[in-house]
This record gives sequence, C-alpha cells and structure tokens, in this order.
Amino acid sequence: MKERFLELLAEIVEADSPLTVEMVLEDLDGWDSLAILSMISMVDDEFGVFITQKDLKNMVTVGDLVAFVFKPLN
Amino acid sequence: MARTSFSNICISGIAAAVPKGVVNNLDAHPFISPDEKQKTVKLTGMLEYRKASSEICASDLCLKAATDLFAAMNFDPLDVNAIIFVTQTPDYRMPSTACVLQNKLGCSQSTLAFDINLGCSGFVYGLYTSASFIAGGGLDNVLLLCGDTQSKLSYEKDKNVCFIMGDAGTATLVSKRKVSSHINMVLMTDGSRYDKLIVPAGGFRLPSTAETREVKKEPDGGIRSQEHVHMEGMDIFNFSSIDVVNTIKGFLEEYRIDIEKIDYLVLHQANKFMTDKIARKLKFQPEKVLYSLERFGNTSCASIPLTIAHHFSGQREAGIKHCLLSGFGVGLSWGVADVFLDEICCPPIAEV
Repeated sequence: MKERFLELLAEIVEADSPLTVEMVLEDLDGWDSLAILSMISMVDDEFGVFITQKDLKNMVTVGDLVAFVFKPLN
Repeated sequence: MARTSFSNICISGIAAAVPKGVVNNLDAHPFISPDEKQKTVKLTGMLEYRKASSEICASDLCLKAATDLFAAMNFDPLDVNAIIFVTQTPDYRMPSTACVLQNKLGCSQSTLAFDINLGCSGFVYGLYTSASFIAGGGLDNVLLLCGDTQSKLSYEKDKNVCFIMGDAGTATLVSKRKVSSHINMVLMTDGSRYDKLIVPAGGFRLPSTAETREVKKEPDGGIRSQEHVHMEGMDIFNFSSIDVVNTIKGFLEEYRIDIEKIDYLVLHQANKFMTDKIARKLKFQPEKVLYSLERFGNTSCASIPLTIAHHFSGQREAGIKHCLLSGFGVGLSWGVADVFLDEICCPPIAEV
C-alpha cells in the first residue's frame, strides 16, 4: 500500500526516480499548488483519507505524508 | 437546512450573454511559463474565458440576455412580476441594480426588484427565491438574472485566479405552470469559512484605503491587493469534495431520486478537476455532466444557467430532461436542485 502511494505521488510530481521517505516535499521539483491538489484528491480517491491545508502545514518530508495517510484509526 | 419541494413551477427559458473580449489561457499571462500554463489549463479544463471591457457591467450582460429571451419567447416584459438580480459586481453600492433594470427592461412599476449578493450558489438560491414568490406570493413570472464581471475583482497576475475567473450574464424565466411540474431544493451555509473565498477590503469591515489598494506578494505565493478576490484553493477543493458531495448524496436519498434516471448533472463551473471529482464521487456517468468552463471559465452565479444555455441553444432536445443542479462556493454557501426542463427556450449565447 505504501509503495503504491509512493508510486502515485512520484507520478504526480513527475519525479525521474523513485521517491524516498527522507525527501523534503518542498524540494521536489514538481511540488506546486497543482501537485498538492492532485495529491489531496489521489489520497481521498485511493486511500479514503482526507488532508486539509492545516494538516499539510505540519508535514515536511515524504515520510510525514506517508505517516499521515497510513496512521492507524483510533 | 432550507429544504423544500415546489409544485407547478417551471423554468421556461434561459438566455446568456458574454463579453466579446476573449482571454486565451495559453496565449495570455506572460509572467507564467508555457509549461505551467499547459499544466494549469489541463487541470482546470479552462482554455479560455471572457473578460468585460471597462464600460461593460454584469447588468449589461443580463440586460442583453433578458432582451434576447423575451424576443425568443415572444414574452411581454409587462408580464414580469419580479426581477431578482444575483450578483457580486453590481452597478452601484446603492440602489439595487435590479431597480435600474426594471426601468431598462420596460417592466411595470408593480414589479418587485432587488439584488442578492451571492456568487457560486447564486443561481440555486435565486431559483429558490423565485419559486417561493410564485408559490407563496401569488406571482406568475419571475425574471431571475445572474451575472458577474468577476474578472474585475481578480488581480491579473494572481496565479490562483487569473486562469479561471470569467464574466457572463444570464436571464432565466421562472413561471407558474398549470401542468404538473416540480422543483426540489436544499440550501446550506457555513459562515465559519467565510474567509476562504473573499474580497477582504472595500466594504465597511475594512474600508478602502491606499494600503488596501496596494498590490503585494502574499504568503501563499499569490499577488494581489486586499481589494482583489482571495481564494484558499485547497480549502475550497476539500469543501467541494466533502460537504457538497455529502449534501448532494443526502438530497438524492431524501427525495428518492434514482441517479440513473437523471439526464444531466450541471455543477457550478469551479474548475474541471473539482467538478470531475464531484461527478466521480457521486458515480455519475461522465457523458451526463454538462460543461461550459472550457470556453467561459468560472462564471460565478451565471455558471449553471450559462452551462444549460450553452448546451440547449442550437439543439432543441425533445422530451423532458431531468437535471440535477448544484452551486457551491463563496459564503461558504451551497445548494442543490432538481428540475425538469421541458422544451426549454434557449436562444444562442449573445456577445456584448
């Protein structure tokens, strides 16, 4: 599941090589407002998880994003 | 929530008018790279939109639309009982522009006329108001005018809005009908998110000053003054995918509407990424979703009637068409309606 998420995210930001959890989101070439919208939509469609602007402000790395999407439900 | 069902009321005609000036999103915006322009056009679905010149107001577009509609339907303006002008870009702070239009249209003095300040949800709210006047107020014909020149509210170098905000004016005739016909509706508001789509200054909360008119770079990367429209794209996107979808789902359940029996889905033309998402979540077949955004962009309260006019003008579709409409946005305000269009009169879209 996490691999699928990373694959889909790589497509969205048009990454040349696979993404790793250490990568900083802001440093990704294709990480712009359009990519963010596409990512939010993808996460909702594929994983049923909803990310707000407020949630996103606390995320720095790809790993932070993965942790949020796959965090256990309480 | 404001929820109701109106009987013996119909939409008999819709006309639209747009400015002659065309903005092509791939040719315009010299400060944005061609690559980024391509991506944005692909995401929004908006290749071009119309931009009014300085002397054209939204009311001029609606006036043209109404005049064309009356001519096409052989309708006497003296038979109009109410004029409702939905706009966020009126001619004046006061009086209501609807009053000015009463005179310009040649309607009688026994006509109710007033403006409603709403955007994206404006057509559905206007329809609700029109239907209420007919059902409860004993009126026969309400002229619902929806129009905005919101290109004048957006800063041309603000990437968040310069691709999408187009201008248009529409006229819809809502009438009492003896034959069985109904309209179901639900209207919603969330003022806690009022600041997600806003022109912050120039009203009375933050009056206009030299400082509020100054164009600055904002933390979100956008460039604008406080007297230009500011949109929190992500919050509006989430609002559309969650709140609006939930309301539509609830509406379909409440009124026991079978989605397979709906002929067309007409959504506010926010942008194609958003409208596709809503249609997908509702499990609507893509061929049933009507669009006008490719040529006209996001036209605020005019977007739903413009989309209907765009589709039905030039083709007289036989039979009754069951349409599900939903307007959503600034306020935050949103609404859903299902209407039956029976041989609706839609003259060709005019240019002013």
